[in-house]
Amino acid sequence: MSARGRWVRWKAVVPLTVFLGLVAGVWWLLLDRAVERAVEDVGAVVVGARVDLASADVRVTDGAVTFRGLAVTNPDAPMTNLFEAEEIVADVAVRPLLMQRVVVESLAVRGVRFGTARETSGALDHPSAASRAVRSEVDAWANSVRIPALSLSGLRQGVDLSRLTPDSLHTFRVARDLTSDAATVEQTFRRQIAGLDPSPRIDSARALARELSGANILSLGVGGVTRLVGRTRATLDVLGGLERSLAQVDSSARGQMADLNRGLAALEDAHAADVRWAMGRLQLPTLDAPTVSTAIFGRLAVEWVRPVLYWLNVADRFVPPGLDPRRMAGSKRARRAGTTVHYPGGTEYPRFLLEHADVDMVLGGAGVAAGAYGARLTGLTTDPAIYGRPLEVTAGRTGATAGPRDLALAAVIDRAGAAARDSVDARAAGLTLPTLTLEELGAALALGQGTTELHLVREAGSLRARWHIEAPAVRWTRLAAAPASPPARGSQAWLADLLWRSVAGVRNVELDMEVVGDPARPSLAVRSNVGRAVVQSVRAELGRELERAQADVRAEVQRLVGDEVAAAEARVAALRDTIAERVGVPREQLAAVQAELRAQLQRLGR
Amino acid sequence: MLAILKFVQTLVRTLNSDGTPGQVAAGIALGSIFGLTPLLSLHNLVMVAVLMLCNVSVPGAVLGFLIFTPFGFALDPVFDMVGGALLQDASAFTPLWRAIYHTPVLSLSRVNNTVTLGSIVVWVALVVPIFFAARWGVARYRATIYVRARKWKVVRVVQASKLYNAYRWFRP
Repeated sequence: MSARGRWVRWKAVVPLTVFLGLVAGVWWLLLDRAVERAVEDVGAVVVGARVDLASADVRVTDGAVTFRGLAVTNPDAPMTNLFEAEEIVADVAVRPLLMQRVVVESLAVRGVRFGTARETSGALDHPSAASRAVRSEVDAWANSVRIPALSLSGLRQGVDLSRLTPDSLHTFRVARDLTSDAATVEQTFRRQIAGLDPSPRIDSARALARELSGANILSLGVGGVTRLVGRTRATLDVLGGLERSLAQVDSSARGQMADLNRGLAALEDAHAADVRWAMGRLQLPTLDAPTVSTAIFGRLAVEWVRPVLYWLNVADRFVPPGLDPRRMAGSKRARRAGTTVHYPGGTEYPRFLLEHADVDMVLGGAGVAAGAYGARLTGLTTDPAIYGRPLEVTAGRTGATAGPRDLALAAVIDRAGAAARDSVDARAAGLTLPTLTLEELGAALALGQGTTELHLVREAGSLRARWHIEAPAVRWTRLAAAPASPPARGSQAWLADLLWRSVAGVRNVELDMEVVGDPARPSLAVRSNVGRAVVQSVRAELGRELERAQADVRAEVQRLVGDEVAAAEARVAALRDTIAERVGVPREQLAAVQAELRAQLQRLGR
Repeated sequence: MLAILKFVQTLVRTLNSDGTPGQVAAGIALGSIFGLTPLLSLHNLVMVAVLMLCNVSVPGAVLGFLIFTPFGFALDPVFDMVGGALLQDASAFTPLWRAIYHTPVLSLSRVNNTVTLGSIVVWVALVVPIFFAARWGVARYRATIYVRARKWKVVRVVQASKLYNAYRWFRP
């Protein structure tokens, strides 16, 4: 057969084999670099900042991978590394690799250092859509936290209430929204009830009940009784359907009323928050310790809590519960990356699983933090529903160089079920805490050595986290020079001096930050004995003036929002009455006539 | 510039080869997959094996690759859309994608990526039209232009070169 007639070119078998061998050889040669790049790319997508790896050494036949010089940038501080690791040795299962799954059976990390400085910025020019979304959610939360101002200058100047307008108050908007929601609910309810129109059927049933009560069995005869019983049963069926429909409308209306009642409660919260905010805006301190504490430490608290929320958000995005297909941006290439869809389930292997990791780190020197630390991590996976067990992290100090110190971390990130259940308990004692610049007090606070504890519990859509810091021997430094002579009462210098004197004697500082609510937008509360000290001191000096000014502000806020709030409350109350009247009354009438018909039916049956 | 020269060289050689218009067209149609779909993919490795083992024009495949590479880049948004529709919107196909995703080796094909899947599907839809269009084009070329072109000095120089001999090895 001629070359043109044959289908298979057998002489190409050898070149093809050589070609495939060459492809395998090139793959082998480039594998280390490819893995290195994959770690950097995937790491950057997850972390939201650069991840650098000095080298990767992959031995496929042994299933061993060694990474050297891993540096993970802190996304909140691009010139700092979150951590660096000198060497990471991983045992990787080979079979799952054929299915594009990475199962790391064990991992040992050596030479870990935290918070090291970077030579170049680790910020990404083009962060992934996922990390941009996480960042923007956390930024939106940080911007939404209202930090009241701590200033006493309003007392000095007199309170200018004209600076408050209805539009600047949350309560006004909440009340208007509530009125609008109530109107929508009422409209829907009226449409539903008009569609049912129960009165004619109830009236007809009543007429039948009257007819039944006057009916004489003997004069009706067997045929008449049978027809009457049939009509009664049919009517009872109709009434049963009507009852079910009314119950449905009632249940739906009650659900919507519950939402509106929550809106009324939110109205009260908004009113209280507006009073606090208005006092801050008019530079009047709200003299309750939590508000003053928030004014003093609020901005710092937001910055401290921000990374916690960021990493919770990252966990939500990359380790979601359930087995729904997951969409991620495709890997970078010259062509468009597209979207890669992952289908969890159907195999015993998750897309990524780190079964077990041991981390050892040693901090040198004679400082309080010097010593050996160890951490153990089990069950880090992208598909917890397949793995079926939670991610567990424990860490502690295994040996201290300078005195007895305590560091303990226990975290469980459980996404194996339908809803996320996370908990973190961390405690570090004897660490050197930072020095805080508190502009509101005109002072710097060196916390010195102290204890910090974090307790976090997250269940589905609810988050509760408490961060406690205790510093028993703090040092205060005045930011501005002290006045040469006692300042005149009521002057700016006098007020600044008053604040300074309030806190200068505080030696033991306790600070509590509490984050509660929806993990995407939780509320933040700050408490501190520093706030209490300021409140006591200011009350002692300025109690009467302050109370008068605060009463004026409360009255003004009430005046501005009172009509709108009253309208919202009236609208909700009217809707409550309407629902009771339009559903409650017909349901009662329906129950009565049904009972009457059943009784008559029973009489006919005797 | 070098790429353009290379392209012209391949074009001339392929169209003037001894293969039948059908063999050259089959090479172009099969080779177009390298241009239309992401190059470093498992299916393209399989296609290389198919091209080498089947009695089709390898230079034709190279020509197909060169011609369709710009189209591949230009049509990426279309591939993304087609792949997205199949992977994300058409729930009837989900069991198929899920099965491929969970099958060893097959899961390395990365058809769970919208651009990869979309480009493969579009290539499958176009491969037959490309074949017939290419076969008609090669036949027309040989009947008209090649009759005159084979007398050109440049063509004779190329045909006499060692490179040409090496290329003849894979010629149909």
